[in-house]
Amino acid sequence: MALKKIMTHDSRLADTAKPGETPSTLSAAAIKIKEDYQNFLKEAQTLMPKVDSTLILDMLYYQTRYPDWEGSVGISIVYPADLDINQKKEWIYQKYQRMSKVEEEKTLKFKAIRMSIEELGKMLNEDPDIQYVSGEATLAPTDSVA
Amino acid sequence: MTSPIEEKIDDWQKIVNKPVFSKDGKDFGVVESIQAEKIIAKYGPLTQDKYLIPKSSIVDFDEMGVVRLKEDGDYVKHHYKFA
Repeated sequence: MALKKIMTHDSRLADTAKPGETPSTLSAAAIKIKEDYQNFLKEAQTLMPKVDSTLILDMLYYQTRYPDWEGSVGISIVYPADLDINQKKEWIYQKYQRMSKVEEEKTLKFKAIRMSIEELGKMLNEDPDIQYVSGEATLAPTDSVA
Repeated sequence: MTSPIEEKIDDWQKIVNKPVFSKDGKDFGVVESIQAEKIIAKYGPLTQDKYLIPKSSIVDFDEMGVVRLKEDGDYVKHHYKFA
């Protein structure tokens, strides 16, 4: 009778591949993928510290999965409490031809079109006052803002 | 130079999902995510209030797993609530 190897959770965890090695088992491959994903999230946060990593992931998914995605993103931009938010609202309008909604006197929400990771990076470069960007990317364009 | 709280919280991921309270004991929900210099806290089951709180506002992360802020509730609400 063939001996069945019993894989416990711990043994699976111990079965990791060293950096640069091809994973020898499927479980090691799964662990490697998970580690790479976590490293990717850390890298994204280092490169774009003011952007919610969930938004980056959503946008990357649509940008890469659907090359003709039109960049539909319900976006929230947070500014410092002591800033003239109406000036920022005007800036958003000039830049994206979109009227934004003010929330809590420091957040602008609007539905952006043709918003990509690259465009998000440009926006952050142009406006250092931005404290935090979050939101939701959608496949189909809608007028609603999350 | 690292602040005392940065020495205490060596891994910021460990405060994710932990409760956040102001100096006067007001509940601001739980930590949702960690940014470079700030944390995001969310409060409420459906329509959530969200707070963007500087890491420098945290005075303690105690043995009960509670994140405590140096400002009182009104200050936190006025300065850090963004949604």
